[in-house]
Parts: sequence; structure tokens; C-alpha cells
Amino acid sequence: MLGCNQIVFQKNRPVVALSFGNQLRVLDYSTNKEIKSFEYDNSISQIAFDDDGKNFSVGLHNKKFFVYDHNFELTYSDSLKRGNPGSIIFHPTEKSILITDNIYSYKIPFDKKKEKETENEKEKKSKKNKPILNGHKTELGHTSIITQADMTYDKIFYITCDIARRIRVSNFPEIYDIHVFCLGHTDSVTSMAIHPSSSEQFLTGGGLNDTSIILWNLQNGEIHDQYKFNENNNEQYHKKAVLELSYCPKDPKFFIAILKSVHTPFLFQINSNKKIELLKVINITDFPEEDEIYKARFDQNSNLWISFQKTQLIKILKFPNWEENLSDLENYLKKSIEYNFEQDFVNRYFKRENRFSQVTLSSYNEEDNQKNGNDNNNKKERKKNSKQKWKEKQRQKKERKNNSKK
Amino acid sequence: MSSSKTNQEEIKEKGVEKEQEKNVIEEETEKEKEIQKETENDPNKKKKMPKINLFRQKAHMNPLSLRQMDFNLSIRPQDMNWKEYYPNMEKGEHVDFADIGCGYGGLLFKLSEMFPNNYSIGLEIRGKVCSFVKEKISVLRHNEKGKYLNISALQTNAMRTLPHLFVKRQLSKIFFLFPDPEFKKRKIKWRIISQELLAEYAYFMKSGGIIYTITDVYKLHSWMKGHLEQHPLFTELTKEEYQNDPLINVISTESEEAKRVEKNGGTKFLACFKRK
Repeated sequence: MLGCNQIVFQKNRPVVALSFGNQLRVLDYSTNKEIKSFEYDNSISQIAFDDDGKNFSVGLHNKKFFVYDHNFELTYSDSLKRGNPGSIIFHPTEKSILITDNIYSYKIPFDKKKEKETENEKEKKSKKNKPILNGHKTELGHTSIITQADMTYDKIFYITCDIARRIRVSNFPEIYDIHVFCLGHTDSVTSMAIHPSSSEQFLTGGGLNDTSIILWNLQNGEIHDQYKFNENNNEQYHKKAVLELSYCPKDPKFFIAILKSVHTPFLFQINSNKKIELLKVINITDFPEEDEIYKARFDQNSNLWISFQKTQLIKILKFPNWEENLSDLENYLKKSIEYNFEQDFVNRYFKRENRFSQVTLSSYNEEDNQKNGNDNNNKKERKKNSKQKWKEKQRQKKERKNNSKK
Repeated sequence: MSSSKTNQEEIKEKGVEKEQEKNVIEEETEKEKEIQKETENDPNKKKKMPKINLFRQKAHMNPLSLRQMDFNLSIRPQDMNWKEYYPNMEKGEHVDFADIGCGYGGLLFKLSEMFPNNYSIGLEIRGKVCSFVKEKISVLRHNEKGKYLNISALQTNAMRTLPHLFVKRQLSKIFFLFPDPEFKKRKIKWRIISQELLAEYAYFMKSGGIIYTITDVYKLHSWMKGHLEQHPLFTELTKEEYQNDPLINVISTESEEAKRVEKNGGTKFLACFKRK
């Protein structure tokens, strides 16, 4: 996939982190300047910021993850055992991370550096004296794959969603103490959004056979309202999963939903009676051909960032003051901005052959191509030399045998 | 000369005897079917109990694979209709005891006598074994009126469907009798007691509720006891509580596995913990 994998914002400052496959870029979108860019061996799966802006972590698709400082210097790196990191959250008081594996979620401290194993620890890992908990400490475990995990605004609850249509709300920091199970979906839970200013409600979206959005009551585990896209036998949105949900941070009555392989995001409103209403179906101008929406997130200034699967485009739709100017929405949407990263990436992505190799700009200059051409001739010579050496070794072996027999 | 027989003649005689036995068994089963048809609706005549030999099934099943039976139950526990299982259940009443991995139901029939005012349910993942327990319960309810109305069996995967059955702080006792040890390293995920599932069992239990576990395998016993000690919501019973509880003798003698262990002369290890 060539498009943007992740869009993650920081809460205090106007900073955004974008990932395009193996490369990561951190931008300041108030001044349009780049702060830092990274490059890795494998594609990126998850990014996370700290609330204070002092820490920053990245997870890759080869089961590794890294933690950085506020100056973007490496402080900790480690690898998981069972699967790729699904979601990363920073602990509010301690210096540790909550990472989800395929089925489990761990709490890993990044304060101390990894020391080499002493002899006592090696003895503990022998077969006779196996400890009960191998590896990192598990805080939570499901019996099927975890799709979403997040914490509420007050850091009181820790919510995890499942493929087996289960939503578990557990206390924080005592995660072994479950608060409530939220049950209502008929298929796997694919998306989740958390209210930015209150810990009484949150949203989830269902999977293939259940294209619906549910508004939950956190204290009881009961349903406030459920919106189904396929009411009255309307087969327009049949068998489409809800990919993304995000609240508008300035006015959390409004939120946006995106379905898979549908070109239009949907705008919803929550009433004072806690019921969901569909306000508008947004049409995007100049939609790229044969492409689909992949991610959509709201800004701290309540602008909508949209990323696509195959093009390196990011569209930003600016929304006005919500309650006053809803009638003039179309005029405002025409003033959208585009971030186009294509020109920077043409040289890197379309000329690269092996996507797991490290890339440097110097390797694609013309001078180096000539050197590589000379190397091809040297390769043949090297092969010949290696064959000759092997034959000589075999001759020496035979001579030794003959000499020993004599 | 009639006493000395060759081997071939002995084999022939045995074969003839087997055929005769088969014919006799066929006649008996036909007679039983006729009798059952007569006694289905007759309250005066008594039914016969089902035979265990016809309901045997292999022991090990993968609890982590998604099966059709995981999606048959209602999504919310408030919508569950318990009158199919307990015909005399009223509005304010609910299930109290749960036997996870009940097997052929030896413990359930003892619980209905000891606790006539409490409802108990047995969860089993194997189909044939669960149908055996259901048939036995229906036969006993027909033969002895007014009894055995507070137990029943259900076929589910207990690792996945417990939140669909029970509500927060509902149960007061949970039983794990002789579970599968699963010695191999890659099958440790199949064990019924682990650090992750204990959080769910603690969610369904009242404060003061008790978990009963018993095995004859020492490795499993140390695994279960270690996990229960490390969990901060469970504490072990004191020696006085071990002696005063009448259920502890019942656990080690009533079920089929317990009787098998006594025959072979094995030792049993107990581990009972209380929820805070």
C-alpha cells in the first residue's frame, strides 16, 4: 500500500505524525515545516504520542517497537513475541507503555536500559525451574484477536474490543478488575471513538454483517442509541464494515463515520436526548480514480484530514463554526487544502525494488550506477576465484588421505 | 473325547454365541422402544435410564476455535429464557452455582439434593455427553415428581460465552473438577484457569464466593494454585473452612473421574479459593 498508514495528532501543540509505508514524517501544520523524518526496515503499524508531548513511540510490522524522547532520541527498543503491536498507550503517571499483542496486552517500563542476562536469570529459564509468567507481564487477555484498545479522558477506564463482538471495560490501573461488558454487536467490532471531554459515553462501529453505530453508556453497559445503515431493506450499504469514527474535539456533538469502499464520509449529530441523527453525506471534490479512503481524523482545530490507499495525497476539509453556519457547509468545503507528497516520493517508491532494504538518496545517483556496472564484472571474477579455491581444497584432502595411507 | 476340542471348533462356537447374543440384543432394543412409546405420556409407568456406553466421546476439543454454537445464544444475558431449563423458575430468581466441564453430571445430581433452594447449571462442550445429562434429568423428573427441578445442562464453550449467560456478581460457587492438564507447550492456551480468565470469573462471582478445584496431576495443581495466589482478588481458605465445608467430600467422591481415580489408587490435590 502506497498511501498514508497513520495520522496521529498531539494534544498540546499543532504537531502531526504521518507514516507512508517505511517512512515516518513529523510536521508542524501551523507553519508547514518538517520537524523530523525517520526510516525503518519494515512498514509501520502504529504511532503514539504522550499527552504532555515528552514521549513518542513507533511500532513496526516485524514485532518491534521503539520509544523516543521529546528531542526524538532513542531511549528504548524491544520486540514482542506473539504478534505485531496493535495499539500503544502511555501510562499517565509512571514511565511505561501499554502495548497490545494479538491476544494479550502488556505493561512495559522504558525507564531502565536492558541489561545482559546474569547467570541466575539463565538458571531460572531452564526447563526445571520455569516461572509461571514467561516474558513481559500480561495485564489483560482475550480469547480472540484484539482490534481496538484505548483509555478514557479521565484515565479511569481501559476499553478493549474484540473480533468475537465483545467489548470489555476494565478499571485503571487495576486492570484485573472488570467494570462491565458491553454486548450488542452481532459481528466483530472494527472501530471505536472516545469522547474527548466526558467519561460517560463512547462510540463503536460494527463489522461486515452489522453495519451499525452504537452509542454506549459507560456506567451501565447499556445502549443509548443504535444507528443502522441498512434500515428498511436498503441494500446500498450491504456488507460494508465501519472503518473509522472520530469526534470533533471543539464541539463533540458531531462526529464522522467512514465505511469501507464508500467514497463519501457521513456527518452525524447527537441530540440532547442522546439519539443519533444523520446530517449530511459529504462529497469530496477531485476524488482520485480507482482509490478508496483509508483514514480520517479530526484536528485540534476541527479540520478533517483524509488519507487514501494508493495515492500519497492528504486532503484537509475545513469545517466552520458548527451551529451557526451549517447551511453554508458547501461553500466552506470548497476551500479545502491538499498536502501533496507525490513529488518527494516518486524517486523513492517507484525505483525501489526491494522494499525491505534501506534507502539512501546517494544510491540513485548516476555516478553510483557506473560503479555498480563495474561491480558486475568483478562478480564474475569473484565466482571464478571461489570455484578454484573449492577445487584446490578437495585436491588437498585427497593428497592427505593418500599420504596417510602410505 | 468331547472335552478335548481343537482351536477351530472353539472359535466357531464363540462366533455362534456372538451371533445369538446380537439377536437377543436386537429384540431387547425393539421391546424397549415399544415400552418407551407407551410410557412417554403415561405418568404412572417409569422410564429407563440412558446407558453411558452409548454416549462416549473423545475428551480433547479445541476451545479457541470459533464454532456455530458460540453464536446461538442471545447476545444479552437479560434476554435469555431460563424457563426452557427450569420450568418452575420465577421472576426474581437466578442461577447460583455453575459447574464448568460437568462431564456425565455426577456432581449435579448431588447438588440438587443438598441445596434444594438454589439453581445450578452444568456447562459442557461435548455434544454427546451433554445430551446424556439432559436425558437423564428428564427421566428422573418423570419418575420422581417434584424433584430435580433445579438443575440442567447446557452445551457451550465456557471460555467465550460466559458474558452472554451471567450478569455481574451473580454466581456464588464455581466448580472445576479434574480439568484437562494439556501438558504440551503449545496447548497451554487451552487450560481453563489462566491469569486472563480469572478476571472474568471474578467479575461473575459475588464477594465471598468460592472456587473449587481438584486434580490428580501435580503439575496442573501447582499451575492453578500459583495463578490463584498471584491474583489479588482471591485468597485461600483457612484450615477451619476446609473442615467445615460439606462440599469438599462431595467433590472428591461423586463424579465419574473421581471414582476412576480411586480405582487406580491416585492422590487428589485440592485448591479452593475465596473471592474478596
